[in-house]
Amino acid sequence: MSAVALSYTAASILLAIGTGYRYGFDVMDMTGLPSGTVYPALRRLEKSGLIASEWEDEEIAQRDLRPSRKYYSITMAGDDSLEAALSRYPLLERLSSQLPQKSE
Amino acid sequence: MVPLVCRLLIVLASLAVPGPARKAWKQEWYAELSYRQRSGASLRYLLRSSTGAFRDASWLRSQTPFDFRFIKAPLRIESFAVIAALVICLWTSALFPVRPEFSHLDRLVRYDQHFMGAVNQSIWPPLLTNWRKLPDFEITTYRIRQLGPVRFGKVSPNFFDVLGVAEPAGRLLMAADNPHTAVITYRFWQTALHSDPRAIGKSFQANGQTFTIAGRLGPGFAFNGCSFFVPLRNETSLYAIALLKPGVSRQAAEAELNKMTKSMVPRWRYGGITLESLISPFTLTSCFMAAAIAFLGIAYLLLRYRKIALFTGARIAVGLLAVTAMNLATARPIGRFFWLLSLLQFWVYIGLCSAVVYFVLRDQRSRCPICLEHLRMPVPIGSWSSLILDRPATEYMCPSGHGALFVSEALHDPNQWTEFDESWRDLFAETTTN
Repeated sequence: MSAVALSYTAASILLAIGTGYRYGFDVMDMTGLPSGTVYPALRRLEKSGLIASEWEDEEIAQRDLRPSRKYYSITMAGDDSLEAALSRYPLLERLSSQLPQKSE
Repeated sequence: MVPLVCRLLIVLASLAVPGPARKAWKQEWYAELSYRQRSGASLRYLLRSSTGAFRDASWLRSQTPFDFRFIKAPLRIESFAVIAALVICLWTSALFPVRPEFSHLDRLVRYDQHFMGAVNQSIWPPLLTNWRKLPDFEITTYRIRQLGPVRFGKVSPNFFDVLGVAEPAGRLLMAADNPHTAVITYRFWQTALHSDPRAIGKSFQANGQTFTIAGRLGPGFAFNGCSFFVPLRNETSLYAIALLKPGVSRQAAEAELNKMTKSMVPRWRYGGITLESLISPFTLTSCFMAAAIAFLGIAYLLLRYRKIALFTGARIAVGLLAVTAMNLATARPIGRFFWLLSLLQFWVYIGLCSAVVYFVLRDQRSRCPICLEHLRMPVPIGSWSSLILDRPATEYMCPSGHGALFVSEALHDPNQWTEFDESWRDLFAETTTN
């Protein structure tokens, strides 16, 4: 599967998810983009098959007394596209090398 | 708990999200906002983030091809009736009534003759002659005409006296005036004559005809959107406004007029006469709107009690009430759309009543007759190649497991409701909880 050409914004969102920022609001914090940009981009990336979404386990959420959250993870196709995007956007590549991997 | 204002924003935005995805979409936003709030995010941050939901929702909507199912909800009768009522009320500006600045407004009445459900306001000349003889009234007549784009009124000499017009500039119309003598409105003076201070005595042209200005009315005067008024001459079809003598009630005057009319008009063409106040029925409209909204609440309560007959009956009643309220709201004596409304009102009313009944019954057919929930889970069954044993159809299930509705695609094949026993309900309950 050929890598999907991504805009800078989409690439930075994909990078955030690839780095381990799995929730919409975490991606917002990491990229500094507003929710009105991040969420439609997440939907678009998911529709293109670059990321996949899943609901958090109910038990975990119940233990923390909160509703379960939807999290996103990068797919193999997403990895390819991210790699292509990083080579296309040198600044983003430099950022990715400095970005700490988010631990859960 | 997500702050109320954020929840409201999400709910509003969710209206744009396609129905099947709406629940999960809202859950995702609530979960994120809730998590952030627990993490100590400020209200400002939460509010700013919530506004992004509108963009998210509109993107989702733009990605979903139009599906007729999504407009089912607005077509449900409560929404339909209320939206229709509001739109038409606003259209006729019934919610923002014009209260004409006539000195005798409280005693002025308009003549309405009813016949076979329609209202006719033009008065039969012999009836007018006899009406003038009754002691309780002072009658004036008028006729609205159009000269190209200009609307004007032909009025009898006592027209302004009956309405009670404040001191004009110049003079009002007199019986001896020729048909080209005009009294202009303040607005016409401002717009067409550019507020000319020496306008009185001058002439102006309207669609090729010349009129001489005798006087100018005050800024508060307005009547049926007329720009000027000329003496009434040679008109066969007249409209009447009556000024009741002090102390005479509208009901008593109406009874007196009806008594006189019955002796003159053949019974077959007599449907009664009402004298309507020139004051806009704003209070009446508000009451009916409030009543309609209260009935909507009752209809929803009936839904909870799950009584099918009462429910359907109440829905029809609510719809008809809303339409009637709307009909009353549009019955305004003075207004820009008066002529159009008097023409359309009767048929619009009948049409909307029929639409109400149609939508209620249509909606009812897609509900479970036991719990009144909308039937779901459509399953296509059968095939066109096996019409005898296996007819092509769609089967809908009650979400609570009360039964299934078989809707055949073959013409003249009636729908068939099959009720399930208790064991099915347990199965459906398990499916729901899982």
